[in-house]
Amino acid sequence: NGGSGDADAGIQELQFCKHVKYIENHGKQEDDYEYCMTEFLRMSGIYWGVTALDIMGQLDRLERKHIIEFVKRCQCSTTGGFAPCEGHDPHMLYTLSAVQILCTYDALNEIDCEAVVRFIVGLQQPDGSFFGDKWGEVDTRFSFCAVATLTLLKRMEQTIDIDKAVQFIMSCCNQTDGGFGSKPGAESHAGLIYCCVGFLSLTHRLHLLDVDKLGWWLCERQLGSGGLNGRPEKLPDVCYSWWVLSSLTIMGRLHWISSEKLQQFILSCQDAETGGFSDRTGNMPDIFHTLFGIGGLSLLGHSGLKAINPTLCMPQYIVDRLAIKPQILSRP
Amino acid sequence: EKRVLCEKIIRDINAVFVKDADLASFEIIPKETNCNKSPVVHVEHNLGLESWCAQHVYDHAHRTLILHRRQTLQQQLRTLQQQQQSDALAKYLNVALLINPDVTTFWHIRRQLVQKNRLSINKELQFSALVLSIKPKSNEAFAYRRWLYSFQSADAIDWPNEISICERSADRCASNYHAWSHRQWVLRSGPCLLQSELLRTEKFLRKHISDYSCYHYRQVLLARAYELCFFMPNGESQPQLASLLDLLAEYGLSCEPNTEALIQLLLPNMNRSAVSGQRLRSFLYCCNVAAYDMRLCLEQRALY
Amino acid sequence: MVKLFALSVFFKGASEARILKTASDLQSFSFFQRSTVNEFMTFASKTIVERTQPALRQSVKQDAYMCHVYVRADNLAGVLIADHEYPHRVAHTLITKILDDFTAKVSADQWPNGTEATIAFDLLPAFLSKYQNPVEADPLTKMQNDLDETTIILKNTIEAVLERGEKLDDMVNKSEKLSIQSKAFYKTAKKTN
Ligand SMILES: CC(C)=CCC/C(C)=C/CC/C(C)=C/CC/C(C)=C/COP(=O)(O)OP(=O)(O)O
Repeated sequence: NGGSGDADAGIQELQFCKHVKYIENHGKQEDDYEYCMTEFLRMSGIYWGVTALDIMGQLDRLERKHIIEFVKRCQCSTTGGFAPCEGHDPHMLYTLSAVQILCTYDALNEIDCEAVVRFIVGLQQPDGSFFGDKWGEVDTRFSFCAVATLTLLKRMEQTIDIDKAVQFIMSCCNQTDGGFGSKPGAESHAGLIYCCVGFLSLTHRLHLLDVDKLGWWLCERQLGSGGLNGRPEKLPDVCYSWWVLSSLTIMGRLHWISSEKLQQFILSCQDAETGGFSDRTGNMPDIFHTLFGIGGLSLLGHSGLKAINPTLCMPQYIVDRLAIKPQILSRP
Repeated sequence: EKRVLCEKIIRDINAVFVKDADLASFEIIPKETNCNKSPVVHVEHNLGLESWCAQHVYDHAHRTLILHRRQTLQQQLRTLQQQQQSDALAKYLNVALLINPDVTTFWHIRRQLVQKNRLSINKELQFSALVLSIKPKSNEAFAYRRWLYSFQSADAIDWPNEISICERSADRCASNYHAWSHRQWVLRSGPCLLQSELLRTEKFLRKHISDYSCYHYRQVLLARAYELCFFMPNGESQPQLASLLDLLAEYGLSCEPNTEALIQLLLPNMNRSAVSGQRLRSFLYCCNVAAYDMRLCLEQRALY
Repeated sequence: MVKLFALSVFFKGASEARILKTASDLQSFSFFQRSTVNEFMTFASKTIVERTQPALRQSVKQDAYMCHVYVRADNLAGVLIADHEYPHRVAHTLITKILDDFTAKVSADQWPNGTEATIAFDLLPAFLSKYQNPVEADPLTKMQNDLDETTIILKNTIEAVLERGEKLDDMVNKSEKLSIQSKAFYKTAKKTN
């Protein structure tokens, strides 16, 4: 608790400077055990940190050159995809993160973009779905990563079979709640709803959604604490502020939840000592929840933060600079 | 010196693998200091590793594996092909994945070793089950199992065991997304398990009253039953439709307890000649299960 | 999950609570955790009994568990540890029933100095397994109509049961009954929470 004298104990302020420090220091603990344990997702970790800092207007705290060199080293010379870290295998997830980082730094020219396109195209299956890598796991997350990466590279046209890809995504839609799961028949999950709604936003197919049904399910995710969960009967978690909120924003239904209460919940998950956000009040902060806490606050219009694009989870000014226009429904 | 210690611990762990073919669980035992005993504990098919050394051991195994991965492709291939070297690799992989099951690349090295016949499919199924004992939510482990099964013919697979693994994992972690997704894969790939699955999941629901994933899975079971034109084979000529009749009665709709009357009531305008008797029986069967579930939910709500 | 972990009967003496009988089902914990969890449950049960006034019922939340406690006016006490989904009313009904059965089998003069070894009462394991399913307690709850749920005091942590100035961390550190292993376990559990 910030402990600001007579202010309501429940109301907290955004610990701006602490978060900047937290992210800045995150990459500097290379001999930390935690750092070693999370090496397998390093590329995404960097994307989370870079994006959060940019939203806070502090991108220059990180070393651009250093990061770009790292990203370049992670591109696989045979497949064209990106690994999370040197020595690991390329994967769709880290390929998107790598491309997002390069877009933010305006450095796409540093890598072989055509090889990235080949990597993605090669992973599409006859039913329209995407493998995450050559070993054949299918997931709606990978469909999102594929179209997001191609969108950022401006190569969505005449590469993959978009109609088939859309068909696959729609086959993962659950009739009972309007939501989406990881595969056909799988349970609706807010994280995967973000992936599928984001996918439809990038492919300009939002009319395929049952906005009222899905919007209703999404706003039922708000709990008494103001926080959001990702599925019925689960605990709230700061990252769902992003997955749920971005989906509602894309569908023009952000006003269906109480933004004050959510804002209070997100702020209560800050670590007032070390900076950073945790999943729930009182837990240990991490870089993943820090981006989604800040991203959520940005969607809610918190002052001092740059606007974030709900579909790509990147600063809006960068999406504008690339002249990319993901579809968004207007508030009815 | 730390290296030597780590090597010894990794050897000890793998010795347990060799000795005990029925290893059932792995866990890290909280113990902050080294008290000069082996940190590898093996009791009644359970394997434990004391926490003080987990970091060092992981760090060492991780380093070794990444070093292998940063060699040229030719060099990597040579390692995979030589018995001794690939055995050594497998040792590091076992330890690294038990401590950190999320590292996709390490699972990939295992896949390569399987492809080169350096690891046996049965042992790999066992290993991934062991990983699920410490991390029941591990999607990597479930995905690996599906990949392994792609080399086996459906009738050689122990499907009931696969269901048990899903159930154990779902029992240990509420609303375990990947366990329930994997169970759907079993349902689609294995023999017809509808009847036993309906019974098993009802029992599960009575103990895990707020496990929404299980409720969702029951919806999938119903959809699948309808898709397969399934109904409970029973001795008498009439299918059992008591729950459906009760539900209708609650809505004030009385109906004779037979198929004909129910069809008349529920689908009055249906063109009978266009629909098979099987389909109709399956339709009523599914309605009855749905009605049964509605009552089950009400009962649960009243009790809790 | 709806789960019963442990049942125990205590006698609340002037200075401390004595455990008279206990039974537990710790299958759902990982193998090497079971003995420490068991120690902890006994520690928590004893602590709460000692801090509950006679003729009072409490339900105390601690992490994933609920400790239900009833200390009777005659200082015989029952503790039931379950998860959050186990119905509170059923839990307290069961405690009442256990204490009644215990009183019928074991005369009161044995309570103040009894130990697990000397007390002849072996119904707890059967109770533990039968009432894993709370529906089994239906006839009991109907019989004990007088148990009013509003008389159960709800506490959100063990800390809330402790006396002023007491701290759970200190108690854990000081306790001679807890092994070093359990203390380490308690610390890691706290860290990862
Ligand atoms: C550009 C951005 C921001 C993302 C890229 C696209 C991706 C990878 C989105 C991931 C979305 C997400 C959170 C998916 C969840 C996957 C899933 C089914 C998780 C279930 O695992 P549990 O550990 O059970 O999680 P919960 O308990 O929170 O449901």
